[in-house]
Amino acid sequence: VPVPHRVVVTGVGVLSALGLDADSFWKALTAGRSGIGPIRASVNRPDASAVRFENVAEVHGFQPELFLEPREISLMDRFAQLAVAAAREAIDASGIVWTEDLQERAAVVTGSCMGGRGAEENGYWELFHNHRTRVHPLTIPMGMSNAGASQISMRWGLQGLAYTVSTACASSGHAIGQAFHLVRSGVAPAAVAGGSEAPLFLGGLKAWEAMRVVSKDTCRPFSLDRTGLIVGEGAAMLVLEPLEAALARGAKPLAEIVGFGATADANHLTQPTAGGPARAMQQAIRDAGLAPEQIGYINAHGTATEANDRTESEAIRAVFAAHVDKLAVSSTKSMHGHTLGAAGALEAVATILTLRHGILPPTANFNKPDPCCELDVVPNTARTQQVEAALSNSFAFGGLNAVLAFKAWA
Amino acid sequence: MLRDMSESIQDRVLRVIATTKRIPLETVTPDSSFESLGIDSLDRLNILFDLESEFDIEIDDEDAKQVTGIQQMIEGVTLLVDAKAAGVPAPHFPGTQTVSGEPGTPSPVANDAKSGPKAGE
Repeated sequence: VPVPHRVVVTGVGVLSALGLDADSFWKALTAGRSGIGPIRASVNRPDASAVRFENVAEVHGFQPELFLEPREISLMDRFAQLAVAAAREAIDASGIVWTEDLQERAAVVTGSCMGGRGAEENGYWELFHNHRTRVHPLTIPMGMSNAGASQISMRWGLQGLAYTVSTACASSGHAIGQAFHLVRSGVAPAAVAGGSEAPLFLGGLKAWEAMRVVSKDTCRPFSLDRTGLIVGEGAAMLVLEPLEAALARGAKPLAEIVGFGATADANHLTQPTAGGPARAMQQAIRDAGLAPEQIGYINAHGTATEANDRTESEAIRAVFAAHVDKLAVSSTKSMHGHTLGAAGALEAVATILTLRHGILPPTANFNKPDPCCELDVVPNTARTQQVEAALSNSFAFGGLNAVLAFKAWA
Repeated sequence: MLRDMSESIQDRVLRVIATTKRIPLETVTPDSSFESLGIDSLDRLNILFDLESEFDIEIDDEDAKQVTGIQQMIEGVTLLVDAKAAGVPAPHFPGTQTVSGEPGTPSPVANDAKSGPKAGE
């Protein structure tokens, strides 16, 4: 079925535990270097209570004052600051010029799971702990999950459809998928899309601790000795444009975004099914007009929980049948951690750069194959291999699944 | 004699399970399986959380993942309560394996966790 526009990614920006830009992100991914380590800076009340796990994937050295006015910083939770920083890198890298016409209709779609709950916690801390009677007057606009989208729209004057998707750990997978369809259909002449998350505040960490899914070790996706996920913070943004517009202004596409599939398990709050993710992958492949055999790499959701890794493996095997033996599947969460609502965006960038550079990033920290995860997980060492097309999987608590399909731009 | 004063650990565990799962106490026995009571992974998470509050104990994540029955829950809680009373390090639930594969011995990771990782350093 012909579509009005082919859509390309012309710029990406990433802040993660692997560094403060897309270049350091990619260098670490291809070196198999993990950014996971003991929590240092973000939790501002270390004395309040111990957390049962120590390791997180934290963005180190982030200096919002380098690009935000002091007043702006005081109006934004860390998750929104990270969103603006990633958008800035993506927009600068794309070289896009925001003409009045583009500004009037360009879309901004962001994903975040927890939004500005760190700012909310600061307010509630004053109430519950310090027995104050007031909270910061901007607790509401700093806490709102759309703060990232709003800040991006204000900063670059983007006045088209702008909103935030919150589907837990699939948030920015859904956000990028929706932005892709907006640009493909012609509703928006360009889009800034991605996600950001800053969950390393005490209440957030305690909530993850209580779920009993966080590793006290590190993130070992698909490895038999896995002990759970590692919570991370970060942001990633993409600039999406119609192919003809990008080429007309002399931009060099990083990759083409070709498909989006999204499904709901309609089953269980936290236990995934294989069927929902499998249908999402099938939909993304169909939406892309690809055959399963054209997919050479999957950036897996790969959280390193037993429930995810085994179910995702089963889903991949069901979708790809015999082709699974020619398919490489890795989880870069082993290096940048699980950045929750930003995960889909970080991993979309990893997938795009995989296609661009012809290098498959590994699953780091891998020790022992799990017989229930019978996949080529590119263990520990990156592999030089050009693939034609790739998927990026994102699956959320609540059984909500988002899969993006990308094609290499030759 | 002293019945109301001496609710056993077993009775308290069964009461917590019934209350948390919102099912009649008489349906919960040490021999009931999780399946027969409709206890899924989320119920288990809630029950273990409420058991920690009831007995003021801390149940290890790996034990929590591996607990498969009510008898095992009762025995595990009893071990933790006894260890706490004796002031000795918390043991693992019976029948569980640590990450290193050794049954019943606290893993170094679990020991570190018990001594309290320092968030925010």
